[in-house]
Parts: sequence; structure tokens; C-alpha cells
Amino acid sequence: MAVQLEIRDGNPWYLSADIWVVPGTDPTGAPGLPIAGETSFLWAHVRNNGNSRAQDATVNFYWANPAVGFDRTTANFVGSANVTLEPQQAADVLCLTPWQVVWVNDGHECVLAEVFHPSDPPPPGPAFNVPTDPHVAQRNLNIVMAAKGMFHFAFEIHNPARVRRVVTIFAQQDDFGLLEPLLPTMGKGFQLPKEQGRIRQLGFVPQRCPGEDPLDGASEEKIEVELEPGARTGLSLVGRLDEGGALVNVVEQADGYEVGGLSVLVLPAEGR
Amino acid sequence: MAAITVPNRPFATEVITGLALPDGIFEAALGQQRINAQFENVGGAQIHNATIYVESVSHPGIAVTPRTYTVSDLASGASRVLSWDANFSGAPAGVHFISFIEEDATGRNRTIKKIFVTRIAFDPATVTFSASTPEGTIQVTLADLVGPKGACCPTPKHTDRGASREGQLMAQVARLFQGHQPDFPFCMPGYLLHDFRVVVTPNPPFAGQYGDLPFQDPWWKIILCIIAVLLLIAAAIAEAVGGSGSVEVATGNTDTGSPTGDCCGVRAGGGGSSYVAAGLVAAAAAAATAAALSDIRDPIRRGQDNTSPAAGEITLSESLDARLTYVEPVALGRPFKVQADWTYTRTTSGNTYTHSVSETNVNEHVLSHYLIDAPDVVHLFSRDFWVVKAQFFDGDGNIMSGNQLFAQCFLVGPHGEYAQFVLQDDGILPDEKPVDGIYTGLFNFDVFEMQARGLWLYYVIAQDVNSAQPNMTPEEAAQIIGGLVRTHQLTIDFTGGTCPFVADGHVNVI
Repeated sequence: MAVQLEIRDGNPWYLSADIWVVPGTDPTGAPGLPIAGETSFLWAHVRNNGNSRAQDATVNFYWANPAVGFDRTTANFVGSANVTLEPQQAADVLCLTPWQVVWVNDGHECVLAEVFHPSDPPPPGPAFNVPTDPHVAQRNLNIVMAAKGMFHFAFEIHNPARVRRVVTIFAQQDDFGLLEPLLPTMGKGFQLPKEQGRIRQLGFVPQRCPGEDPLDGASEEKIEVELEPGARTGLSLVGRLDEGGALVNVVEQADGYEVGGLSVLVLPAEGR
Repeated sequence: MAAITVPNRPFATEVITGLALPDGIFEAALGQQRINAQFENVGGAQIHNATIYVESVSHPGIAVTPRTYTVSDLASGASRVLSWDANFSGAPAGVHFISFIEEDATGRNRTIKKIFVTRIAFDPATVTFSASTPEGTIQVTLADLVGPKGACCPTPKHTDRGASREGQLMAQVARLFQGHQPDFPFCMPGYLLHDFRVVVTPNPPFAGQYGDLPFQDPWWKIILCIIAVLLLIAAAIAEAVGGSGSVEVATGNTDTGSPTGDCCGVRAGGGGSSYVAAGLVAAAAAAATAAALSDIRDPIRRGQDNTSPAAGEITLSESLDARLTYVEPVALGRPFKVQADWTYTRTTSGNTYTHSVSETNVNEHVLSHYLIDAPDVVHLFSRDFWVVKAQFFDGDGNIMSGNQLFAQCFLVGPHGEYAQFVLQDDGILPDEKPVDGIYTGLFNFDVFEMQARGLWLYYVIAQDVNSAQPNMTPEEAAQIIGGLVRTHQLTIDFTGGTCPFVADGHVNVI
């Protein structure tokens, strides 16, 4: 089994609890949500499932715009770190290079970490292959507020492939409880609403900032998007929240496989 | 609480001579350097087995070559120096951070320490060196250097004038530090700073009497020392590479720099001894400059003390015109005196203010004496390690120990071979007892195989370590300067002839 490095995926796979953000200037401070215009630090919990020592393994950290389908060429490299792990050992790893959080990341945590070692390298190519590759994990959690019950959330779709691609994007409400493992790293005192709300009229619109009624002209919860090689496009997820809060997962499929995903936690703006 | 801590700021050593740079500051233009840090067991018990490595750095422009050390049997109170290769080419000037991980039976501990990085540039049009820091830019014009009269350097064996004369001087310096012929003969036309002008442009211009110190810690004069060290080492090699090692000065040598006579010349036989000579001459320049401009309060600060701008004025720049006169031989590690005549000028948005001083200062980075114990014969066939032990006594005769010093042994072989290793006072073999003031290291001459046979010279060089602590004010921290040589191998005197450049001993490898 030699060296066998892993950063655990989440459930769904793009909600890893083994990657987190520490906002502020103290990299050893409390985890929380990134704040636009301020510095944050990225951490990963890395394990060696093998039976040999992993000496001087490399951990790379990236951030991306709220997006699905990005790879090493379109994600933003933050910095790297080293870790030495005995067999069956795990450790928290800090990327001391600060992440300067820009506006698009305000409250959004589209961050990714990968670990590798000369004797346990990542698969070749620029793709991250998060669901299938244990070396890499992603935390793609985004928080939006629903004003008067309505919400919208803009995100990008990338086609890193060298050929034209038709991808299917679909959204669905998922169980609140999936966020439980992430709560300790979502900020001091962060709590989910007591009530799990219900999402209605879930769909997509092509505008980044939908009009007064964001649901106006929204497509179904599932659409197909055709992208040229290397192209990016944008969509906004829209919907209506009835009471409480809700978790919506947006999944990108290509050729029948999941190739990207992000989660949106919708919270009521009123009373927060 | 972590059992192992890093008590002092990690410090830079450059790759040519292996010596620590003034105050341990890293220089981006050099590219490759070593990060050195002292790891101290502050717990009450011996640590039997610890792993230590660099986890991460705060800028991706600093590329550290990963390395994990295993440290065994580190006694309570003991301190061990560990080093990592790193390339600083992409690092901007400023304060950066390094996180170290130490893991032992009690758990895993993280220590984050700050380091300082400068970036020196050279403007051939104005013959001016500049170093940027977050708090401002310092520009240095060397009008004159003190060196041996009529220095006549040998014809380089590997002439490469094109490489040595082209383009940006600092890029050339960086190249010299990475690729040069190791058997270069030592010859430098100038050794010590004599007349120079320093201009500090604060970023941003400041109101009131006082500006910020560079990196909020060292005096501005330390940047001057770094420039001197890098240039002198590079000049030594440049002279050998292309015969162009005359350090870039504005007007050229004008007098002896001493009231007593001509500067002596340092003789080194090429190869390893040239490395040591280059390092020590550069160290002498740093020590003399630091001494002349005083550790307690440097001229820029004293100029600020004595020139109060009017209300509402903003200080736009500060300059220092200085002349150093060597009233005594510059003897590394001894309390030599240097006369400094300088004028500080503050240029504000509304006026110009000056303050002039003429004074004599004394080198404070001294040892009263030191003792070295090493075998004078090693038998290759027995495969024995050669063990060297050294004790160092401060100016008051008190023994220095543990993390007070950074001590290394430099070996120069019969055919120009060169090797160096760190001496530790940590109680880990070959050192017998921690923090007893006996720094110990070993060397295996087998690495040179049969070529090791012959008479080797050795130099045990100790440098002080900056022990400023985070809770000190910038002004308190600035008074503590590390990276200056305290041992006595070189004296630059003013009797002409050859400078005393003396090895600490020799070992016959048979």
C-alpha cells in the first residue's frame, strides 16, 4: 500500500469538511467564512492511509469563483505547504500564503486542496477529478440570503476540455443535515435555522443579476449548456424559499458523469 | 505549550561562504540561500525523537526545498540549528513568515516566525545601489573604498569578461553566487567603506519627528551592511572571473582611510581559502560599518532626534553623508575603534535640516578569546570522524553557549577543497553536554576519498544571533544585531603588506 495520501471528500463530494478557511490576519485563528477585501488562510486535513511514511508530501491550495467544472488551469493557486505523515497518521496543514479574498468570494468558499508525494503522485493532466481522486478535495459551499423569500446565486460553468462539450446542469434541494460536518468550521456561533425550509420554483436564468422578480423567465431545474473548448459561461440559480433555510446542490454532468458541483445554503434575510 | 520552540528569528546564510548575512536578513537578488533556525527544547524533559520540517511560507515567491529532520535525544534547554535550502528570487522585499512543524511523543506543534527580505538593485547611471523595504527605499552611493595600495590581481584562469561586465550588476552578482569557478584566486581592490552617501526615501513621507524603521526592526545601517557584504563577496569572485571585481564606486580610491598608513592586503591561495577570505573580508566591512554607525542608535535615528520639523511639515527624504576613518586595525571580533564623521540631512516639504556628528565608536561584537580542540591527524584507513570542539568567551570573559552563537567550521584542503559544517551545543552526539558552551561538530574526510590526503586548514567562525523578541518595541529590537563575526581570523591593519589572515589550526589527513 506504500504511501496513500488522501484529503477526504464530503457528502456530496464537493462539500469536504477537511478543507476550511480562517478569516483574518491570524492564520491560527478560528475558522469562519471568507470576507471580501480581507485576508484569509486555507487549511486542509491530510491523511496517509498507506503503510509507509510520507515524508515531505506537498499540499497545494486553490480558490475559484463560484463555479462548476474548473481545473488546475482555471483555478487560482494560493500557495503550497509540506507535510510529513507516518502510516495511518493525519494532520492539519496550513497554507501560510494568505488568500486575498475578492468580492466574488464574499461568503463563498470555493476552495480546493490536493496532496501528493513522489511515490503517490496525482493522476496526470490538469483535471482535478475530485470524486474519483483521493488526493484532492473541494469545499464549494456558498451562502445566499433570500429577501422576501426570493434568492439568486450567480456561478460559472467551465469547459476545460479540448473539445466542445454539452453539459447538463441541474439543481435540487438536499437534506440540511449534510452540512453538520462543516458547521465547526463555518464560524464561531454559526447555526443553521431550526426549521428546514422548502424551496420552490428552482431554476436557472442567464443573467448575473436577475431583475426585480428573479423567477421571471427562469428555466427548469435541469438545463443543457453547450460550451466550446476552454470556454466559460455563467448562470444564476434562482428560487423561492418558504421559511427556515435550505440546502440546494447544483451538479454538472458530462457524458453521464458528475464533473462539477456546488452547494448553496439559502438563509432567510429577515431576522439575521 | 509546545516543548520545542524557535526562540530567535530564522536567519539567512549565503551559499558562497556559508556565513550568515548581516542580521540574518535574506536578499532576494541572491536567489538561493539557506534558512537557518534554532530549535530549543523548552520543556522539562528530554525529547527522544522529534521530526521537524518547514510546513509553509507566506509568499509563493519563496521556494523552500522540503526536508524533514529527525532530532533524537534533545535535552531540556538544548537548542539545535537546522537548515533548509530556499530560493528567494520571486520574493518581494518585506516581512515574510515561515511555519515550522515539530512533532514528538507529546504531539504536533506549529511555530510561525517572521523573516526579513530585502531586494537590492543597482543603477549604473548613478552608480547607486538601492534596497527596497516596506518602510521605504535606501540608496547607497559608495564614493570610495579602503583597500590595499596598488592591489595587483593575478590574471584570471577562466576569463569571462563578458559575463562579468554585462547588464545589471545585481543580476550579475546573483549569477556569480550560483555559477563560478571554485578555484578562484582571492584578490579585491577594496575592503572597507570609506566615503559614502545614503538616501532614505520613506514610504510614505511621514509627519512628525520619526519615521518607521525598516521592517519595524533593524536600523537602516543594517541594509548598508548587507549591501557591503554582498558586493565584496561578489567582487572577490568577479575579479577572479573577469578581472572586474572593482566594487562599483563613484570616484575611486582616494586615500588610505586611516591616519596610520596603507591598508594591508589579504592573501589567499585560491579554492577554499578564497571563500573564507571573501567571507571574512566582507564580514570585516560589515562589522566596521556597524561599529562606526553605533548599535545603540544609528545616525538616521540620531539625525531624527536632533532635527525637529516644523508643524505641518512632511519629511520627504533623509540622507547621510559619511566618512569612516580606521583609527585602529579592523580586527574581527575585537573592540576596534572607528571614527565616523557624518552629516544627516532631513528634507521636508518646507525646509532642510541638518545634524553633524564626529565621533569614535567601538565594535561591540567581540570575543575576549576562544578555544578550539581538534585532532591534528586523521587516518583515512580508520574511517574515524574528525571532531572539533570550540568554546567562545564574550567581551567580559563569560562563556557563551547554546543559541547565543551560530558556529561553523570551514575546512580548506590541500588542493583547494572546501567543506563546512555547523557546530552544535545541544548534547547530541558528537556534542557531549547541552548548553555547556562547548560547540561540537564532526567531519568525515572519506567524502573526498584519496584526494583528502594532505594538510588541511580549518577556521572555526562564530557569528552572533539576533535574539530580539516579539514583545520588544522596534527601537529595542533594532539595538540587537545578529550575523556579525566574533572570531578573530582576520585583521585588516594599516601597516601595508599582508593582512593577518590566520587559520585556527590544521589537520593532517593521512
